[in-house]
Amino acid sequence: MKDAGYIPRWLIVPAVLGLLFLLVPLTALIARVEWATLGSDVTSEAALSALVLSLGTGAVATAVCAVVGIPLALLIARSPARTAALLRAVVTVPLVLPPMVGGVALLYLFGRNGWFGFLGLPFTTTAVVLAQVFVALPFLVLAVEGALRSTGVEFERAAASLGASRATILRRVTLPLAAPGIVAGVVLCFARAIGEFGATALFAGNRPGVTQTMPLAIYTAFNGAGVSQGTAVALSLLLLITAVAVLLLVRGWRPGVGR
Amino acid sequence: MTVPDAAELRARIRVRRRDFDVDATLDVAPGETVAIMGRSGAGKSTLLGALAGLTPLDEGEISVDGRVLDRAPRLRTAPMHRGIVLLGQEARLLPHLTARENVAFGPRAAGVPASVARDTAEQWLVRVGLPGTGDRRPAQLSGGEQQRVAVARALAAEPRVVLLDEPLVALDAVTASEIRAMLRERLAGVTTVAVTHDAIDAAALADRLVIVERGRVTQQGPVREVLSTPLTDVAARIAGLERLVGEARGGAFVRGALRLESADPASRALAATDGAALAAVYRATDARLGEGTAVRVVSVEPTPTGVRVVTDEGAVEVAPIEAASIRRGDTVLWSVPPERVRFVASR
Repeated sequence: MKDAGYIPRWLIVPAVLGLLFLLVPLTALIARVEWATLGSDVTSEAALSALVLSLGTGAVATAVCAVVGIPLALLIARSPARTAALLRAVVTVPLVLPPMVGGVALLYLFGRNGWFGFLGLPFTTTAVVLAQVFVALPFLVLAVEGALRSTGVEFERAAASLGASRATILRRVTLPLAAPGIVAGVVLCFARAIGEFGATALFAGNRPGVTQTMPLAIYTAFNGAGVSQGTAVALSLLLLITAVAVLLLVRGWRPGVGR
Repeated sequence: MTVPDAAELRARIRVRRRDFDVDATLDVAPGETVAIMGRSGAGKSTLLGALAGLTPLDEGEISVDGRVLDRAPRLRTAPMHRGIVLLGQEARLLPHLTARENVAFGPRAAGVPASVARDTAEQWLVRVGLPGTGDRRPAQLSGGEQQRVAVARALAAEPRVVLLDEPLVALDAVTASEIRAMLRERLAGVTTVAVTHDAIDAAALADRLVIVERGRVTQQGPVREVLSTPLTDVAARIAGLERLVGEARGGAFVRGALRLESADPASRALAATDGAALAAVYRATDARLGEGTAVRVVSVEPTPTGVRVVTDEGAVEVAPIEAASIRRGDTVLWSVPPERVRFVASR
């Protein structure tokens, strides 16, 4: 650290405690891995289908979040202060809400007697994606909105004054300048989506191969329904590695802004 | 001055603000540069904002070469369709693009093929004195270089009208003077409206000077003329002149016990009418201490070149040695040589 400023030195103690609290449980998890059966645990049909389902639904949910979330972030960032605060609060609700409640809400909307019951969505793979979008969207919107707001409109004004159309400004100015926020938002969104459990369990259920994503598979494994705890640990390790891989991937690709 | 191919700007701008209405007429001949000066908050930026299409007009009309861009209350042309480019205090280069890509931005937006836009950008970088810097990013350029790129970018967009909003104010004096010279060269023949706080900018860049006070134009004319015969205190301060208000009596300027004469024929003609409201303008460095009218010293302030002695009648700037013994409250004798005083009509 080049410039540590002048914070009290003893703050290092709680800081290290916090760090340990994040790292030690993960170490304990890795310590419990049964390396002998790891290969077979991870490549078991249940594990693989859960992994594929998680990555697939997570990717689709993230794409949906980007398609609606970036425009929503733009709307909030360019609204007058009071409207923006209101919209931001609305977007934050799913973030502070227990995911279970989200699941119940989705069930009432799309359930057999709900407004959109005729679609027959509950307990399908589409329901998994919907549950993930519901809980993950706020992460993307808030990250992108923060980036857009800190950039402001001055660059867009300069571009407009040079004769650029609104579409050109979006493509060549607004989105590139918000790229760091968009990348951060997409990563958070994807991580939240593949980790989603509560809303999925209620709204999509736990059907292997259809709605049983990694978190649900891990839960099922721990409950001892057909699979061993070894499988649960192996799946958890897999999820952990996936998360770390996504983070590394993003750090490897740095947007050109602010270099 | 009229330049073929350059655009004529005609604007009657009225914008209501909380403090006062900005209400000004601004006509700029093709290729002419008009400087707008005035105190902070006088409405200069509102005028530029209206011309740039950022601030809607409450009344009035803006046209370029007879094509009406805005007509209150309904007609408004968006900034991207006006052919008016605004160059501000900050360069606002797009940080994710190279210098060349920044300059090529306008031509690219206008649909010019990439290779042509690239060549145009390269030529403009040479013209603003930055050959070979096309591959650099804004963060790798100094403040002055960034502003040069911004000038290249603005002009590469082939605007009909260029608006300058104090583009030199964020730069150090040496860099500002270099870029001022470059701007003078590059803006020749381009219809320009420049807001500035610095009379040096106005004198170097502009053909005409418009003084704006509380949203109204209080004086306008050729730059030299406005700077030498300021009609208001604000104009006098901008010109770096002292201005005293009094009246004509016996061919001279009189203000209480103070009496000033002028050697300038036009000034003498103005003073010929007894009782006419008159203002005397002079440069503080031309005033003398030690002879003339007795005045009381109000304050003594060091300046870069000497000491400014402000009295209850007028200020004088003298060498530090001369002012060494002068204190606030002292009574001193004060005068201005007649060949250094001009009279202007006072309102």
